[in-house]
Amino acid sequence: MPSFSHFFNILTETKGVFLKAMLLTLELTAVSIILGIVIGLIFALLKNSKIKVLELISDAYVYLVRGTPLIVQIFILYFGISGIFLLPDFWAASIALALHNGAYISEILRGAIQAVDKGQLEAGRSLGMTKALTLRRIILPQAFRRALPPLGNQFIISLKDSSLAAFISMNELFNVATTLGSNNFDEMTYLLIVAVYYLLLVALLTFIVNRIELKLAVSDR
Amino acid sequence: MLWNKKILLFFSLIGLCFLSACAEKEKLADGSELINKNQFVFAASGEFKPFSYINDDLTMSGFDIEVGEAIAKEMGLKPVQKRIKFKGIVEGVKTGRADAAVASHTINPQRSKHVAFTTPYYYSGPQIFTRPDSKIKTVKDLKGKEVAVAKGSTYADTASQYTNKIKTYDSDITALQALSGGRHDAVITDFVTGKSAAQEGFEIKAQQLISRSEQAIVLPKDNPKLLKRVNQSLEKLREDGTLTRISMKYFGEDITSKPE
Amino acid sequence: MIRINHLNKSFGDLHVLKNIDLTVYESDVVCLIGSSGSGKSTLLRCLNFLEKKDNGNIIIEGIEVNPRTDNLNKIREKVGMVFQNFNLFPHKTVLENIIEAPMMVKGVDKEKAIFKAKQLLQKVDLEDKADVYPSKLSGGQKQRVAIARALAMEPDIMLFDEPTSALDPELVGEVLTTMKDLAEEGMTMVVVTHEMGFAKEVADRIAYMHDGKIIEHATSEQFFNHPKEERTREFLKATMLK
Repeated sequence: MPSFSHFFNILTETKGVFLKAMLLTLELTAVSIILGIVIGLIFALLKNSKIKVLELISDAYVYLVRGTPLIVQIFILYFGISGIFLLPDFWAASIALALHNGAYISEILRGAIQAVDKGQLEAGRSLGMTKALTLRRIILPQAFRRALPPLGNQFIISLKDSSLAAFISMNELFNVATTLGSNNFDEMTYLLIVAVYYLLLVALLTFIVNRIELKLAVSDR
Repeated sequence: MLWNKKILLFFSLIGLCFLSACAEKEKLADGSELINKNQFVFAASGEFKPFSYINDDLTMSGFDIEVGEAIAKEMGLKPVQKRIKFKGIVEGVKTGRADAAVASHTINPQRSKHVAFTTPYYYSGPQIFTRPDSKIKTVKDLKGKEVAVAKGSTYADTASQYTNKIKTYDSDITALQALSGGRHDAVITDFVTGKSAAQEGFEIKAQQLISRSEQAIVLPKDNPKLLKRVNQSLEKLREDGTLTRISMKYFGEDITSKPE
Repeated sequence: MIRINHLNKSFGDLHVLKNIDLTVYESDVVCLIGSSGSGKSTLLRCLNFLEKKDNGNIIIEGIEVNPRTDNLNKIREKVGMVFQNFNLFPHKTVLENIIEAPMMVKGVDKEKAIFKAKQLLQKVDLEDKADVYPSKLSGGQKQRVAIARALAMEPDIMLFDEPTSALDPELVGEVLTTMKDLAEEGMTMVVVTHEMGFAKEVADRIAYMHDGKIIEHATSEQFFNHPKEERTREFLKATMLK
């Protein structure tokens, strides 16, 4: 087991390279979250559409994505389809992550939308608003408010999932840790260091989500 | 309370498991140490065809594996394969997860600080591999280009002498696969590995053979008696032609003798 | 102004509205009364097409509405509704609740919408609550905001679905007062209610429903003093005893 001073030395020495990797991890996570919300929203609306065919499409997507490991999905987008089409590594990873997130987010949003009182839709419609307008202005804002805690959770999962991009040679946090670890024959120290970075990022993310929740709670149910 | 007793029992069982995992190695009559006194546990990655690769039944085969088994037999021990990802093998041997590693490790000063090497069991060298249509021929052409290598390999160091755009994968085969699929500009890996991959249909072409290297078996530094025994066995296998035989089987040529 | 002919509606096997005929004239205040399950709410909701009729005609301003082809949203701009459970938008302030539809649906510009909204809030006696969120209001206040919100679209007719049934007794009065004022201004209103006192005082006509049919439909005076049907008399007897 490495000594504490050894750990601390390496931590400060490798600050530069880890911070660069952290930036990449954040980029991957951010893109996958934003795209994931868009994808999740689309499939949540499809599922709520009451049109059988659209509901089935949504079900199929969720089943496929939740039913296969994320690493398999990343590999398919990176290695698999390179016969047809060469996706740059950043996009292979972030699209796979976004699609993966999207399935879970669609379930979260679907539940949140359904939980909004039916009377809200009726009020909107009775004022002459179309269903789409009511959805956009009245229902979705309330649904998102409700969905924030489970969404925040999904964001944290997404942050950690970004570590799988290491397997397609992206220099995010986990890859840097294992590369430096094996180059220096000291895997343990570097793994502990990267764990600290992940903890920091999760704390940051949690803080941001909490602030958003507070801000939206002004209208207070 | 019954619950508390059960929890205590559960955790002590887990504790016992951890203790047994940290068991001491067994000491033999001649002073050498082994994890189990009747076995020679040797590590390989299984991701470096034709030196080590995984069969359908999940056992490993390959040149390195056969050499490991021959050595075990020569020492009168039962050979036991242990699969460890290449990047973790040196540390694995150091911390006692295996008695030794027969995993195509190039002898270099950096590794020698942490582990001991036997005499070389084969001679080879890193080579540049590219896609067939590539303009890269020699190391000079690598400047500014993206090179993929295996993590923890000497090829990563080699590559860093010529370019700073380096991508790492867990295995050389994955790196070659990515290259073949259209990613990166070149891969640096053992010339035998690349040749074998090309024969299996990867769309790659061999370029400059960068240098010569010596590959040896890795042992922990604190086990000099075992090192002596393994070296003695290796010498025997050289003399009686076993090493050459295995080499001919896999490569059609003898890479176990020092080239002129 | 609104005429309903032979309207039928079922929910699955349950035949909820049976051959309803009803006419509401301009400036009329019609109260639909009856016990729960009589179909009065359903009938009300058919008037703004929140429920779809199975058959029959709904004729607005002399033109029959075909729910399949006509733009129902346009029709709903002219038919305001006030719900038993208020249905205010909780994530918007009182003012934002009121200006939402005029701005988003009719494209009224913000300043104008706010001005109108403040006028309406004055009318329902809640101008000081403009920037408050609905969760901070009492039931009676919420309902008055709901009325203002519906009025913001300048409807020709206002529908009220048991507007006071969810209110504490002491808050009922303020809402009924607002509704009475509205009636006196000449608004056409159809009100589903249990408040007999309000019906007696404010309604022009009463339609008593039972089991999906309109049992008796008469002017307020006739209904309460000279009911024609036996069932009506029984109903009145039972309610008056309270």
